[in-house]
Amino acid sequence: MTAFLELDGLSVRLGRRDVLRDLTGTLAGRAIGLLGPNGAGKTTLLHTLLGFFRPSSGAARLAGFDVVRESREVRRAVGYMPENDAFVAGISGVRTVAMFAELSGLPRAEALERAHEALFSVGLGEVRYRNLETYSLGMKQLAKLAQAIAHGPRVLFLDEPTNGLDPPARQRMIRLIKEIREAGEIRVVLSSHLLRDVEECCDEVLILKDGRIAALCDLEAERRANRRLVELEAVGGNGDFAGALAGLGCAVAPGIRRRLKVVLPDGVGPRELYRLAGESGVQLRHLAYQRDSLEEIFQRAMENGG
Amino acid sequence: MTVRTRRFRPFEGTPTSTLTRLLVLPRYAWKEAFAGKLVTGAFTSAFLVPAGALVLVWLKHNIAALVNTPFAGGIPLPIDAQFFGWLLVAQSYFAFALTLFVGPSLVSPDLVNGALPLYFSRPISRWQYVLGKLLVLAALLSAITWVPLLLVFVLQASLAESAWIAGHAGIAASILLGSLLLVVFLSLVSMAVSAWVRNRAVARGLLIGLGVVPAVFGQALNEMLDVEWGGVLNVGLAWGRVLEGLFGIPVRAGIPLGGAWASLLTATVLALLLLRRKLKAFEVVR
Repeated sequence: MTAFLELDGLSVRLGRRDVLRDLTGTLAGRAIGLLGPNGAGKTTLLHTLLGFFRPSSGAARLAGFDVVRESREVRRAVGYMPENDAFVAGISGVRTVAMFAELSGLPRAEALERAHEALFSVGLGEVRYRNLETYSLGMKQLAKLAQAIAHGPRVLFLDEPTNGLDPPARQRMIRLIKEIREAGEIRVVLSSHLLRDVEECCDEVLILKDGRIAALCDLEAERRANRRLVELEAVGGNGDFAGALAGLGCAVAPGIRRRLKVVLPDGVGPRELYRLAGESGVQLRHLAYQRDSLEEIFQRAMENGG
Repeated sequence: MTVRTRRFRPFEGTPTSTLTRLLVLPRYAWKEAFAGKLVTGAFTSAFLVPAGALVLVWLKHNIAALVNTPFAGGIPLPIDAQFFGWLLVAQSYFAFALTLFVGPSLVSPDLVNGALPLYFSRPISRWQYVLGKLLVLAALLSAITWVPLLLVFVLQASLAESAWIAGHAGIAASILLGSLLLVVFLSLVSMAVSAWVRNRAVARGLLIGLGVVPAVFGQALNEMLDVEWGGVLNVGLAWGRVLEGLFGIPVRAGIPLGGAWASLLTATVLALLLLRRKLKAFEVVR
């Protein structure tokens, strides 16, 4: 996959504070998560990419465009859903979304058509003629998403999209983000301090701490690696199930409560494990893949990174 | 409307031009400007004076219509530069009233509701945003200042003898220049004030205050220091002095013409600087 976000020693100084320091990295995922505690610099990074703040040193390229020299092209390519409440007072949802689509460069008729479409997509089709200030918080979040996708951006910046949402609304937002990602036409950059949101939606993650990159990892690769690491509990047999697993090419280590930690080689999956257990007269009472990988990565990054 | 399937497709067409995008803002803001009945009322009544002037000019050249009236011998009012100057004075009051209603509602709601990041994440600049919003007031104020006044001028020119046109051709330029100054000054100052205080009602109060407080201060300076240049702080007086320079109407402002222009232009530049400072996608907390 080609890189679509390249950071080259990017630093941003706001007032007398260095908010971003020497960020360097290349990201190519379909959905990139920006993780970090509050004040880590996630939103500042998004704003710098949008041209709101000027880098004090270094450079960044988004979708092939330099974020300083080609800021206009960047903003044409991006759909942005800000973290805070943001709406235009006095006009309906559909007019708001259409107006922003027109401001992004769409002709009037196409902008209006896409505004209807975007509002239906996010589930606000029935209330699209109501003024935005009458929307609930969850509806306003969805309207912000609609204005961000209506003009057909190549990149979607989502800043804390599940903020203030109740669990069903959060699920709906996550489902929409996944749908956008799966459609494959829009790259997603999701800034959040919620590990779960990022883990559910993203395949690559950039973890920031105190304005520095604490970790940059490919979640898909981690997931693939995790799919190779299983924990199982075997009961019965002649006591040499570990040896039989080693015979399959697995690396085996003892875990707690008589469980085994097993790294599966390529071509070996649960099916082979069950077959081997059957042949060895062993009952498999527990078999699970490693979980919470992002949490572990995040914890490691917070302890060591920055 | 049919129920649509979810499609997240990029826009493959040709993007619209910068000018087209710029005109999107006034088009959407225009309807908002006329949301209140007061604005519609003020806008409509602003045409009374120019309409009266049109009738007056027509009657002056059609004395037959005044038979059996006290003016059967003709209307004793010269249609000259001063006539148009006083018309512009009258229209500037309506312009100020309209600015009070419309100006603060252009920018402050966007600031209060956090809409600026939505605008500035699009391919438009801060100054294009300002220009787009300014066009709403500019169109509105133009419609009640130079447009009707030029209509009156054209009617007079078409009815009068060619000698009148030769002697008064400069009036059209004065109308345009004076109106342009008024439109830009009022638009920018009202937008800057509303961007600063972020509240429509407070902005309206402050706009009235800006006309009164510096004037009182300037008058106090005049009294204390026994001078006359304190009048440059009086925006109304400065405007009157500019009109005196353009149309020769007697204002007796007591301030030099250059000082009056400098006063209004300085206020306009200060408004631009204030807008530059306040209209940002995000405030940086230092």
